[in-house]
Amino acid sequence: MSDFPTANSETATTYHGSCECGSVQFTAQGPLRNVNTCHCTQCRKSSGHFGAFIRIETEKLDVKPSDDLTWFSSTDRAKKAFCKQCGSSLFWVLEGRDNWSVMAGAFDDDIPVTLEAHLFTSEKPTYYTLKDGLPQAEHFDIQTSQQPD
Amino acid sequence: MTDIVKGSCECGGVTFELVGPLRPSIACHCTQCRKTSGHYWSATQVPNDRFKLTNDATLKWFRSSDSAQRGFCTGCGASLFWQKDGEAATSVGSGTLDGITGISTQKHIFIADKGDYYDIDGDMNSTSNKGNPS
Repeated sequence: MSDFPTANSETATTYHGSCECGSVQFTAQGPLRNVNTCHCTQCRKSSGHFGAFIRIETEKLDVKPSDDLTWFSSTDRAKKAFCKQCGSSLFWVLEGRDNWSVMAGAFDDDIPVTLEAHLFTSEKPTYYTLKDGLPQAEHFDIQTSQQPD
Repeated sequence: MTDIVKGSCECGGVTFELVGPLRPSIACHCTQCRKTSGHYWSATQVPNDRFKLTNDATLKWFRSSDSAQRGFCTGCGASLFWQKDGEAATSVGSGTLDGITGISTQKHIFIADKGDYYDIDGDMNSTSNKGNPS
């Protein structure tokens, strides 16, 4: 399908990912960026807790076509993908970008990355705390590698 | 108690009300919870007689194991509910709740299955390598 990113031919570490039921599968070519978490209302609702994602260029992503991969317009500029069979959260895409944010929990393989920063903490609920000392941004105002423009 | 906490998925296709008191939130790091949430899942729980679906137009149940099912929204993919067979209670993703809930995180479970890209250093009053969100 033309709207899926396809992998390039470079040799690099390949990381596999999938939804809970296995209907949607993908690979990502490393090296991978670190993980940002997002505590905005949309990520909280979608995940059931809070979001965690890795931004990956589309040329390094290969998503196996699946009729179960379903897109939802989360905002007027962003859409997210999930599996309509099992409900797994998979991707978040900002319009006009050449990269996708891949949910960190979707990877099957160990991924050699760490958390980098917490975003949209202004919308964080009170039932959990963030004590890891990582940078926090009330919105998208941390100069990290994963902030939208 | 008549305290009512409302919640919903992201698109509004599923809305619900919980009658308090709510159980503290339990964070589960099992593979299934990590897959469905995209990170790990944390849920409160109420008996089913204090769990009311006010809109279930897009709710779908997925059998995630031989003893449990998960409820999610087919409109937006939100990871909402977990029910264990034979138990008259529903676990509800704490992030899907609206407004002030008054709950806190009690413990982390299934940490043997957690992702290697994060540490548990927040609300770690207790942890367990096993357990379920019930």
